Amino acid sequence: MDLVRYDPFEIMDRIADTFDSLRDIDRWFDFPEFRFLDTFGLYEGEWSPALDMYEDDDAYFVKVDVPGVDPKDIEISATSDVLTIKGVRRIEEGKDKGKKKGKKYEREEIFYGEFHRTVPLPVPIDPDHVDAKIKDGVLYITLPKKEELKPKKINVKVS
Amino acid sequence: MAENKEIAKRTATEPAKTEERERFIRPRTTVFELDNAVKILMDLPGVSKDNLDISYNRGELTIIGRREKWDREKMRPVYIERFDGGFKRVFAIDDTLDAQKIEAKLNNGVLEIVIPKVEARQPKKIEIKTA
Repeated sequence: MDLVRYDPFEIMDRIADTFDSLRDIDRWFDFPEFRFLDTFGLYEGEWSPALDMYEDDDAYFVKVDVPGVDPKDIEISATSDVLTIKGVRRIEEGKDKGKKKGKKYEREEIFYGEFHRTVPLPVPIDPDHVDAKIKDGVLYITLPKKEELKPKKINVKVS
Repeated sequence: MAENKEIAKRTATEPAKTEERERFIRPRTTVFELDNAVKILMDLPGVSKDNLDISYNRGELTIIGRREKWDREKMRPVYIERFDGGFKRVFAIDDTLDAQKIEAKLNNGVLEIVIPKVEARQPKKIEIKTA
């Protein structure tokens, strides 16, 4: 008998597959405009981009996954203790171009529309020196911590 | 429609190659049919061309790659939501599609793959000649 290692994350794949088969329910009804899941609004409205935040002694470093989002459509604002990221992912021009009329999507997992994230910052930052750039669909934000809150090295003098 | 059915590969059914078997995440993907091709859009933010491998073999289109991890030596995590490391998806391509003409481009974190249909299968308009 083969021993298969227990994989606690396999359940995630199973859930994903269940949702995929749930989408197949749409195919029971052969109306192009009728989508079972859309009636629950699961594929409409606001979505939330995945975000990582790391820190060192001087700053917070944030990465946000915003693939296919035009940098012009992103708005970032920061106060000393909250970072806000707003934007919209528009359906790429030509994405549907030539899409066969009356054909449903074979698979539709990508979210479009407005997104909005509010991130509380554990330690106050300097909102005047926040830096943001975008590369390969990832938004990189650097938020320097307030000078007086940075840990200071104290030299021990020998008396 | 069976034209682009994805093969769900269960990690548990694959033999463990190494003790530290890598987990792959499944990037979000949208697939739809055009008049003369099938288009696949995949969200791959932060993935550079060098870290992405697309291959076709025996009816399977495999998209595999990884993205760079944070430098945890220098930084401490506060929030972690993004995937780290490897991703993989496999699509079955049947003989109605021309696998020799697969085209892929990566733009702004979105991978776009176009697979043309086999020409002979496409409907052809036949002109009626007048004598």
